[in-house]
Amino acid sequence: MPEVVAERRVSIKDYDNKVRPSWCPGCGDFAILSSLKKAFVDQGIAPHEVVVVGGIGCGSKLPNYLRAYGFMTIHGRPLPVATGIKLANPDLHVVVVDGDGDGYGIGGNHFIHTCRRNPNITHVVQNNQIYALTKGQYSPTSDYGFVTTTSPEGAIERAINPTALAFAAGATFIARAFSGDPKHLTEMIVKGMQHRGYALIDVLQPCVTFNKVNTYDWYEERSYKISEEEPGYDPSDRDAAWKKANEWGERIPLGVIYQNPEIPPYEESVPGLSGGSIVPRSYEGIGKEAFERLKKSYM
Amino acid sequence: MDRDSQAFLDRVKQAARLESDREADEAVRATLRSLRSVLDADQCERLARSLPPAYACELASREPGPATDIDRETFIGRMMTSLPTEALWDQSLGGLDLVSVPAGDEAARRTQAVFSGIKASLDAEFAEEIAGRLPGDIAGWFDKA
Repeated sequence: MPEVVAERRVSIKDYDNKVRPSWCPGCGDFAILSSLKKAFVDQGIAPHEVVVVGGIGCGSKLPNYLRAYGFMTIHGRPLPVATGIKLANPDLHVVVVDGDGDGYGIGGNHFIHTCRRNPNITHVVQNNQIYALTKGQYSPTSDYGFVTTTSPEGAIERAINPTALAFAAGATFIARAFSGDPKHLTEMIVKGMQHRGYALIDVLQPCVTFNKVNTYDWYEERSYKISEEEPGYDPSDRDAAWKKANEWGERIPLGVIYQNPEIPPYEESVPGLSGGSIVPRSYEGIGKEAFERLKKSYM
Repeated sequence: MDRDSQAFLDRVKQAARLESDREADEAVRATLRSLRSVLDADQCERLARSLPPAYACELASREPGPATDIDRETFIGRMMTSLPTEALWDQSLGGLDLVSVPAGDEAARRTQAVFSGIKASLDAEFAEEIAGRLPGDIAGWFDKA
C-alpha cells in the first residue's frame, strides 16, 4: 500500500450520514461502501472535497449512504457527469460508483470514451455479473450459459471483459479487487485516486440474492493477488498487462493490472481551462449582456 | 458420515429448527468458510482439531497469511447465498428484495445455531479468542450461542 498519511483528522464518522442502506443482507456493496470511506480517510480527504457520482442500480445508490457531495444520474450516465464536474472544479476528488449493467452495458459507450479521454476521476464498478436492482437479468459481464429470468436456457451472448476493454480503449489505470477482501479493495481505491487520470477499479461483488453462481466462494477460489504470486510484475509493461487484463475464468487476477502515468489528465489538455478551473472565475469577464443572452438560450 | 459429524450436524439442525440434513450441512459449511476468512492459519488449525472430520476439512485449506477484517454483511454473505432469496417476479423496493429481509434474519438464526455447535466443542479461552476475531454483531451472536 502506498504511504498515505492523513494530514488532517478525518474519521470514518465524518462520512456517516445515518442512512441505512437498502441493500440485501450479505451484499458485497456494504464492503465497497466501507472501503471507499476508509480510502478517503486514509488520504486525509474531507467530505466537502469529494463528489460521488452514481447511475442506476443497487450499487449506484451508494451516494445516498455517505456524507459527501453526491449526484445520481440517469442510467449509464455517471461518467460524462463526473467528467463535467471534474472540468468545472478539478480541485474536487470525483469518484464514480456504479455497477456492471450501468457502467459496461447502458453506459458502455461513455466507458470507452472516458478511458481514452483520461479525466482525473476514479471509477469503482461493482461487478456482480447481473442486473440486480431489476431482479436478476443477465448483464454484459454474465458468463455464457448463465441462467436468469431473461436467459432461462442460459445466456447466449459472450461476456465482455472490462479490464481488456479498458486497456484497448486507452485507460491509463486498470485494477481489480474483491469485496470479500476490503483491505485490498481499499488499497486499490487509494491507488486509483492517486493516479493522475482515469482509474478503473473493477470490483468482484457477490449478489447473494440473484446470483447463486458467482458467489463469495466462487470468487475466492479463483482469484489471486498479482503482488503475491508475481512480485516482479510490472504494470507499466503493456504486453504483460494485456495478457493479465485478458485473464478470466479459472484464474482471476486481483491488483493493479496496468498503469501509465505518462499521459496527462484530460482537464489539463482542455484549452479553455488553461487559465484555471471554471468554478472560481467571476462573471466580470463575460459581461452582464452576454450572461443574460446565455441564460435566455436555455429558456 | 461418521458418528461424530452426524451428532454435530443433528445438534445444529435442532438448534436452527431445520427440516433437512442438507440445509444444516450447508449452514455449517457456509459458517466455517466465513470463519476461515477471519481467523489466522493457526486458529483455523486449532479449530479444525476441535471439529468432527467431515467439517474440519473446511478449515484445513486455509493458507498461511494474515486474517481478513470483514464486516457483518460479508460474514453472512455465504449463508445468504445458500438460502432461497427469490419469490415473485416484481417486488421493487429500490433493490431491497422483500424475501431477502427475512432471509437475513434466517441467516442470523442459522449462523447462531452453528456457533452453538462449535462452542460446545471449544474451551472457554479459545471461544473468547474466536469471538475477538468476529465483526461486532457476529461476535454478539457467538457470545449468545
